[in-house]
Amino acid sequence: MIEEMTPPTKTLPAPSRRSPSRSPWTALIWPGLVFMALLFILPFIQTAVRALTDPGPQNFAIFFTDPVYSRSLITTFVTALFVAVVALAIAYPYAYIMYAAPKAMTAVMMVLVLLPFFTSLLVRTYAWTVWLQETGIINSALLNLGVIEEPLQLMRNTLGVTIGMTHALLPFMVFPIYSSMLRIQPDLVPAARTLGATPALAFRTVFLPLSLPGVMSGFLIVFVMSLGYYVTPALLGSPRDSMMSELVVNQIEQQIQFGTGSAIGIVLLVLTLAILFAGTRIISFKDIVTGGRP
Amino acid sequence: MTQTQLRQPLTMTATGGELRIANVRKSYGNSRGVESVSIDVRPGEFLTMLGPSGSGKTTTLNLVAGFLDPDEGSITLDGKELSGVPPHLRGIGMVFQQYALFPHMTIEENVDYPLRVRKIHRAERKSLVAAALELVQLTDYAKRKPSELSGGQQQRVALARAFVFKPRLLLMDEPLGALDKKLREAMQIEITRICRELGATVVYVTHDQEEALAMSDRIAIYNAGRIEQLGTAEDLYKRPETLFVADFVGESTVIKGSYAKGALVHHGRSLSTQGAHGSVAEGSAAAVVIRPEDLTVVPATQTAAIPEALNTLEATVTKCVYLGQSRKCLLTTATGLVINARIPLHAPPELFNPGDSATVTWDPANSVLVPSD
Amino acid sequence: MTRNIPLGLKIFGGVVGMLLIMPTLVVIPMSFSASPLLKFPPEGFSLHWYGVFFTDPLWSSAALRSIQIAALTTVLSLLLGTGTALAMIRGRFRGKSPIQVLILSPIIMPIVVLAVGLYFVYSDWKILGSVGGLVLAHTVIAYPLVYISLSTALKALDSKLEDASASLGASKAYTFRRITLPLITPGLLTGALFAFTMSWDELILSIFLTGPTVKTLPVVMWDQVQTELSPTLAVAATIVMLVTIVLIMCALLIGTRRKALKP
Repeated sequence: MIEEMTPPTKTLPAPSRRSPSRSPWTALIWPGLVFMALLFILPFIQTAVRALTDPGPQNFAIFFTDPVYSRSLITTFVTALFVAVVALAIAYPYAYIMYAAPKAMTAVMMVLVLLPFFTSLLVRTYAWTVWLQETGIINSALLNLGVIEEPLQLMRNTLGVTIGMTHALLPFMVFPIYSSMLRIQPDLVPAARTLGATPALAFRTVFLPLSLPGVMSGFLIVFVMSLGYYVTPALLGSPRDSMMSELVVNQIEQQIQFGTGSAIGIVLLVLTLAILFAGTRIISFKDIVTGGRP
Repeated sequence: MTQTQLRQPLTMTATGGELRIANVRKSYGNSRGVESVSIDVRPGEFLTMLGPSGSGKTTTLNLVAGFLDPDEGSITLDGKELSGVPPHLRGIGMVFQQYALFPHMTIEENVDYPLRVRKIHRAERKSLVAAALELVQLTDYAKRKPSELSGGQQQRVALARAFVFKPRLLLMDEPLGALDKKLREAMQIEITRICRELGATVVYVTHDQEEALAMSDRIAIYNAGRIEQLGTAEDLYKRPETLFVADFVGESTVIKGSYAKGALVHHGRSLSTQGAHGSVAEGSAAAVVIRPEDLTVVPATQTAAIPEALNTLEATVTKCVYLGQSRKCLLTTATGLVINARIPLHAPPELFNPGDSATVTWDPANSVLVPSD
Repeated sequence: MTRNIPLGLKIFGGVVGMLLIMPTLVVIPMSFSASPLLKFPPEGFSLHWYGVFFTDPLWSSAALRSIQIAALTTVLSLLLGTGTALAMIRGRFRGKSPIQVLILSPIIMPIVVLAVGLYFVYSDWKILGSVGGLVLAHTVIAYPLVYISLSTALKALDSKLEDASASLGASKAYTFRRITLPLITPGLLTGALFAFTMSWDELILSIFLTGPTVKTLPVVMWDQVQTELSPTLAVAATIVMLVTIVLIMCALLIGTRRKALKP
């Protein structure tokens, strides 16, 4: 009886995909979540536990007692900031040329950025030592030309780290900036020009503000990735001004001080998270990681 | 009181400048260039450049705006040469196809932009922006961002921004291309009203002939980098000078043949051109163009009543479409010529069924004679 | 409308472009050196060190090990990444955005800290220095890359095509196999190449998690960089670089084809 009263429209079944509980795809989230819990979250918890219990929370005291560690905290932060600033100063004009140049040129410039992006970091860093060391290409050339009498100190200092890390991280700055430039409607700058703006003014008032999302995304990702860099500072940096990641490796591998190493690691992690959190106030996390690409 | 105060600055905007484009040539590697284009645009005139895409109309506009430099020829505004003057110093307002509103600025800031760039005093800027927004009826939207406005509203902002600094010339590059048909028609009226009120000189680019006919004082028909004809809508419709114009503007029947002794010879048939507009050389290839409303279609059985002076052609009805006031009918002659005619609704029913035989007739004085290729 | 680039800016671009590739390119000539010393410019020309690379078990077994680990990592991260991307795009559940943050996190978290943590976890699980352990570790950082490329491909996929297939009478499984899968294949291949490259290059996790018997190529190179410098290192570097470049070129080609596929 009730069935007879059902209006005919009801006989059409609603597409099952629209119903929230019954989507067959939902269950596929579990393998990934379990994997991340065991191999990503658990390791960080283990590290935190070690830092607090092996032998105890006094592991963190090292930052107050030994100036090497407090200085490293500052070195890490300042180096990362410096690398991000230098990378921005190089990447913005580079991205702009890619944006403004003819297609073929853009493709070449794209490949130039991509190749180092995907060639082993170790190979690249090692190659920089070939150029920068005391007997390296630059010093030999300058000595032969008579420009200098003594070889210059180009690596094993902040200069070397900045060169190596800027080189390594430049693609992460170029791509978000370039893609945000591509999203700027091409008529806007010509429009500003007809309205009376000089090329410089049109750039400053229209193009630059509209490319800022890419700049922020690039700056944050380079800054954050620099904080945890290990290979480049280890090969090109000064043995005296260590970055935190170097101290972590040193404590674990050489000193076999798991507690202290973990404590330094946790401080590095918290620093990273704090900066990321501050960054997500301005742009979304996904945009930071993927450079704003869809 | 406040009303008149607000309107005050606008009356000052008036008088548009005079644009002269003389023998301008611009070539690219590929097509899209222009070849010896000359146009004089009178002060306060609304001139439209109409043509198929790639015919050079946008190139001409970019040459005037200063985004391109001509290879040859000169462009002057009020007698001053523009070549070599960068876009920002030309003082020409431009409305872009996709509006080109600055997405990071409010409507007010967008309209204020050209005034701020010119370092005009704050108080004056404020009243000019208010007056411009009032003219385009967007006063209530001043504080919004462009993305919060509809397409038609964004278009009006773009217009306000282009005229707020009282340019001597307004350029518009297919400004209605992104709007739907109904809105487009409303905006045609709106833009014409605003431009008349401002007394602005306008150069308008479109590929939509209805738009061009509805808005313009004069129209320049572009084809393959050249201007085929420059004239009023009526000139172009009634007195086309080339086959391209005749074909491009409005519907027509084109009969090709060769011209001899006051008549067009089409597949052996001599069609009189007595009193027709236009002239061609004796013996040259020519075409007669007739508008649908100048053609009369009569049943094949009633040809006796046709006066001697009129031309006639026998044809077969191939298709008829009901249009409300009349029927639009296509007929084909034995020679394969397609005739485009209107048949009144009260015509005998044997005239608008496919396969019906009919005789098409017209007064040679209502036809136009143009050179053919 | 052309955009003019000032000459100064052009020169700047050229210099930056050179700086981007020059450091890497010196490695290749050095690998052909005839002398036992690693230096630039190389002395003489020989393929001697290539011979050493392929015959010395230290290098050749590390290279094979690296290939094995990269291949397994690719398979595992493809399975996980595809599943997650399908669940995130097609599934209906709460908390998608924190899950997304979690999955993408390994890209920017300090890898050294992750390495230390995994070292502790692996000690407990007794899988330190095992191939399986390295594969799992590499998957942590390869999986987000696969997820990104798969979710991009799935989003670009017009769901109307699947609806059309269903309206033509195809079952869900058939639609997935004949419509969905072929259309996301370029995304799968790109993700696979990213995953392989990531593992093939990975150093820091491997330093912590390899044992004396299971060493990847980057780890052997790392040991060499710190101790003796022989041209074999340049050979290894060249080979690592060439393999990567070939893989990336494939990825780029697939990328171009994917664009061509779009209507």
